Amino acid sequence: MTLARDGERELCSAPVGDAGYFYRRLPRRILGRVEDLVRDLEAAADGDLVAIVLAGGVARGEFREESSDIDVVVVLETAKREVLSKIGGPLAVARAAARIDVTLLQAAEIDRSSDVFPLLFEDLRANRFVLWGKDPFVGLEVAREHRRLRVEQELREAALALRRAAAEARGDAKALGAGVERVLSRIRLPLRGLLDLLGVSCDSYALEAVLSKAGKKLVVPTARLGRPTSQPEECWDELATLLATAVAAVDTLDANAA
Amino acid sequence: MSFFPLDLPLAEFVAVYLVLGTVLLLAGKGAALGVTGLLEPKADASQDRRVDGPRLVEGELPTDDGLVAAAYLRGGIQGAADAILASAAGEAWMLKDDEAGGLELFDPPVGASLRSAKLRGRISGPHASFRDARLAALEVAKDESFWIRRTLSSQNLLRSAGSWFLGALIFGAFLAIVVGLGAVRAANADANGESPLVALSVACFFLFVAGALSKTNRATGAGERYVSWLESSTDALRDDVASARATDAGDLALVGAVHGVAEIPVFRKCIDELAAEAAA
Repeated sequence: MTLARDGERELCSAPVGDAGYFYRRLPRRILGRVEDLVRDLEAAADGDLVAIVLAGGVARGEFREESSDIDVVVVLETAKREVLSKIGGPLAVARAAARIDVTLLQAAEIDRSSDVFPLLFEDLRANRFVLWGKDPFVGLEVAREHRRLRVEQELREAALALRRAAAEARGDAKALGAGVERVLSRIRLPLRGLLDLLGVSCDSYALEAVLSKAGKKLVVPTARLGRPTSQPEECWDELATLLATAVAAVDTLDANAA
Repeated sequence: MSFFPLDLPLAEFVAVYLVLGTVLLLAGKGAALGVTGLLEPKADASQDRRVDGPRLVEGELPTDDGLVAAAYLRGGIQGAADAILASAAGEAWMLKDDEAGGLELFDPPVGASLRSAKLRGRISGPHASFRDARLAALEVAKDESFWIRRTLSSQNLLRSAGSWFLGALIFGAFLAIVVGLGAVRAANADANGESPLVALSVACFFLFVAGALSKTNRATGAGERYVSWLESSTDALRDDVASARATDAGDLALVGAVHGVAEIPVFRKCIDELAAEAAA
């Protein structure tokens, strides 16, 4: 397992699903805060706690100390108001101290929610580290059709946002570049989901890698997608083409499924 | 008067005086903290102390009135004023005026705190300089200092006036010895055939050091631990607010209360403007 530095970004070439390894590599200060949260939740939840699970970017090996959130899923048995009120204090401290962002789930809703949160659950299925309790996501299945719908929705929303960015920029190259950057930051997971649906394995979560794989599979250029600041117009054009082609690919999947 | 270290040649006296003075001031500070610490009531979990106002405890981030009280504990009355200003920025009725410089003011929104209404009432017009806004916040904070002190004292976070006075007396005694040594040496300067300015300068230096050492407010040991916990527990949020990544009203108020207004972008720009004016 190796980590390669590329400028200020740390690109991870480790195989996916090594969330425990990535967790242990967190700075000691952050680890301490996560451990504090686990201890405080255990004390405050009055036996309602089922599990605490590390998820998101950290579990995928994408942690950046200056900006990353630490995504944690807290699974509760009843999630009653009284319990939620008691754990509010530790959650607020964890957020302010180390950007620990918590999603609260009720144990019974996990199996029934994967249809409406398919990408979140698919990510959890592939990348998680149980910090406390029994793993509540063992055997979790996310239906292919649910994933397909969600990927299509997110890609279509990205296409809408891209058009709006160009309209709002009104010819200002800097504003256009910022808009393109915002759209780029939100398409990584749906594009990776699309590749998965198309049967293309992608062993990295880095945006550059996902864009490159998507470009090859969909036969569209992606060389300028890394230059939203220096070549915003060319970047916008390439991204619009990529999104249109990706959405068409999801539709093809739809037709095939039908 | 001629005894050690006053009987030493000037250069040796200055060297010994610097070392001795530093040791004495630190010892004085330690003695003051030790004696007043002994007088502090000990925390007893079995006793449910009666607490006036918001409760400030480690593990819970303060909100509303608790923010102003925590800010007072950290930075005295100016700290409380900073918390009030930060709330105003969080409620988005006090903004940076990029064209005219200084601050642009609106009416506090519905649901804003009464404290915000008081602050707005003390600043007339749609514009204000950062200095004027800070002075107005200071006045609002002064109006509230009574309940703040009562709240903090009832939780054993702030020293009582008697305890603080005793601490000041002990530290003052040590300071008097240090400054006295320099004064006596300066008084005998003519007889020794040397300039009195040397000893006086070192004595003034010690006065400056003493001022810095006594700058800590009246927080008890428990109060200082609470402030330290609060600062370390809002590290990430401070960075997010300073970089405008976090813009929630509650986040701005918390960071302003715990870390001061310089971390709030609106006021950071004002402070930079003032610094640029001063440099020019």
